[in-house]
Amino acid sequence: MNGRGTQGARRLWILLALLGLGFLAPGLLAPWIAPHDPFALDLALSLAPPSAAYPLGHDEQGAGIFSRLIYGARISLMVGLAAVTVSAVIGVLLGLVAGYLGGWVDLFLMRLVDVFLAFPGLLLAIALVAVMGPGLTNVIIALSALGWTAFARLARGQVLAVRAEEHVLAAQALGAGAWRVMLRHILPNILAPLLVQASFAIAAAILAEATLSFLGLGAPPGTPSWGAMLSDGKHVLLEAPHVSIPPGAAIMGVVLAFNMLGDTLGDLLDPKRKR
Amino acid sequence: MDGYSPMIRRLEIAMGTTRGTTPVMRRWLDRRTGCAPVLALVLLLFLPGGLWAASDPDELVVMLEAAPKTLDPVYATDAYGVRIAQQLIFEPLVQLGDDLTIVPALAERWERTSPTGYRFYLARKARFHDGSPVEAADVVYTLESLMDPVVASPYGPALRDKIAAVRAVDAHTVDFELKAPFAAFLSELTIPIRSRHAGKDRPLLGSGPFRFERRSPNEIVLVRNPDFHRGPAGVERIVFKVVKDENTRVLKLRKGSIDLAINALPLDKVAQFRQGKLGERFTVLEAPGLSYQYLGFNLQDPILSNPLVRRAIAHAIDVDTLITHRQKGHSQRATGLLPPGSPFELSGAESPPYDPALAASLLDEAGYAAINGSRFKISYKTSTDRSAVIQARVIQNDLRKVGIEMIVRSYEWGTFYEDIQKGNFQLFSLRWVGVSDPDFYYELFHSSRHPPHGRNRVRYANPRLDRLLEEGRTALDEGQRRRIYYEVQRILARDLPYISLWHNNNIAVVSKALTGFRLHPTGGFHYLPRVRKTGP
Repeated sequence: MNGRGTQGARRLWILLALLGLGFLAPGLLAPWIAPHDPFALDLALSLAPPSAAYPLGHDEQGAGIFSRLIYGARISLMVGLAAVTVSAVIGVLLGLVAGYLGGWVDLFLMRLVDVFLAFPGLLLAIALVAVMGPGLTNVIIALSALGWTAFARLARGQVLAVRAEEHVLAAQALGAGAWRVMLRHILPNILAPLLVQASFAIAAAILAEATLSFLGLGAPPGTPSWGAMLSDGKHVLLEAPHVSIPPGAAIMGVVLAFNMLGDTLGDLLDPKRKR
Repeated sequence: MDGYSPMIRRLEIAMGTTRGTTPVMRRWLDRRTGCAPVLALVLLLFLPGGLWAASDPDELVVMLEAAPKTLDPVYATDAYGVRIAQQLIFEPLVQLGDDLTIVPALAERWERTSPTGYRFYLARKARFHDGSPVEAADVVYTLESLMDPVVASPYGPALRDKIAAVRAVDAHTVDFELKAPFAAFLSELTIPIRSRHAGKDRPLLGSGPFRFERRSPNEIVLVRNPDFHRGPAGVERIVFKVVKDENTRVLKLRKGSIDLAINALPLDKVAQFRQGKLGERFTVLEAPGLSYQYLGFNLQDPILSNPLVRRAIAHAIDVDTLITHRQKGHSQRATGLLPPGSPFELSGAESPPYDPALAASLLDEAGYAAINGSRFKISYKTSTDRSAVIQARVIQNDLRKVGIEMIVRSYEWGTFYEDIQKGNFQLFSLRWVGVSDPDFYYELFHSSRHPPHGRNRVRYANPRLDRLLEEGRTALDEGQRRRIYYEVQRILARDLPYISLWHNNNIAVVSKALTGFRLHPTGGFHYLPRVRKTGP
């Protein structure tokens, strides 16, 4: 391995460790890690500053911010992974079909993608959630309805490049069906850029969920979503900045980490890319 | 020195170090004396204009939270529209007094001529703003036009239900004939009287203490009517300023560009106007009001139709803590719809006390045993208003302690209100304002008043209560009426279609430059004509 590879690999491990410890673990293990019940309110402790038992203090309703932050990771994680999984499955399948079959199928699917991309993404998500009603499931649906386009376009482009390669021709010559060629011979060869795209997409989905919740269109009131916590803190920003800083920092940290992860993965997986 | 304020210098430094600044620009900025006037000018442009708005002793500036849709009394239904029309531009026959009794306005006095007949004697000196006298024919015109289905006034249906005829006896005497005896009739006559000569092009020609001058999206200006029959108002002009954002409202008031704000501040921002520097400039008046905050149940819901469940929920909610911490003590615990001090209020009535243990045992009794700490799920609808959402979350937290999983759904106001009217809800909390006569119980709980015919949104139906409410409408003897409504209150306290939460106090922040202002129980503008302003 050359120097660039090891350096990139080290960065990758550091990022994975950070995300694992700082985001995945709290998200998955929230009920065991959180020191307090994130839903328990005590109005008498409204806006109480950080203390030993409550390291980040209380919000306006008197709920412990630290515990809510930990549970918030769970929501971001869930929405990020779910929205990206759904988008990726739909997008990659359609991209494969478009790229492999070509012709009017390709034309139709890509124009459909164009139509979706013509809308400003967040605005469309807001409109969708407004129509379907607020709630995390609807947020996931709205984000997936937008997210698949990026995957479809990327997959199609990669398929076009791989389609003409000899191992694909060989498989076709041996009489393999279209699905078999697409899934067994093409898909494994286009996974790397899709993985990079997925990492960016998770960052974008987490940010979008926070935005929608901030606007009151995401999780129902009371759910410890980072966006909603940020929105709660907005009204008391001057008196009690300790309410809004932690969720704000958490959103920034996680989104930044996923974006850097995407970059690092891109560097490592793409042999042609120079740093 | 050259008169630099630290602020200007900071701004300059910030600009000078901006990465994009060209060397030429930087040199220009470095010439301090040269750029000072420019920067000062820039600052002047951005400073709020109110800082220079000289406080005009002839002008009373009153803050509104929202712009009224219309001031035309035929169609105005929102609180500000009704108040400005009814109390300032126009004058009704009678008004609600400080002690919740009916007091004279355009009508100097009145008498009941039969169980269904009323005779009103108009003030002889009363004039419309165009100089024409206010006469019985104007009263007839006002009522008849409101009752005309073609006019489609929102007040039409209720008046048509009750009034058989309105007749002018002479120029200053008018007779009302009702279809049936109706005890609360006088409280329905706070309708602004309009001139029969005004026509369509002068809808705001009134006879009140102020004339309409102009309005823009964020401002309404009224000027004094010097010929008002009970003496001219204390100030030359009233300017209503609409400030939609609550933080901006606080800032504007602090800055001094507003003289008076009634119920327009967030409750946690009131205290600052009582202390320190602000306390020297403002007086905070606070008095019990006519609003009633309640929690409504959908009585057609399979779970909530069970009175044991409703009682359990009433015991599970810690209302006093909500009042202390969310209402900041600016509310009084309510035992029923009627405001404290109403002659019809059942004395000694108590709300179910906070008792989670009792709530849990009531739920067990109702057949909802806790499985893994959870008994059942219900949804609670609310608007997106921040305080309403926080209140919902606190109630959610209280109910969770007794094993009820409550999901809070917050909707944009239009959607929320439509759902409530349609009966598409399990639990919700709203507020009735301006409740004074107990006949309102009829509108809220009589079985004939289920939407869309009335406001019995919880869909309560009880033949015995129906009968009492009908008797209460027609009973003209005060004592008998009281006894009826005492019984109504007992039944409702037992059946709990609503859980009473609190009555909000009226809170006015009044500039010390004003004299003569008093809080009316409705929180309305009744006392603005008496206000005088002494200097800035």
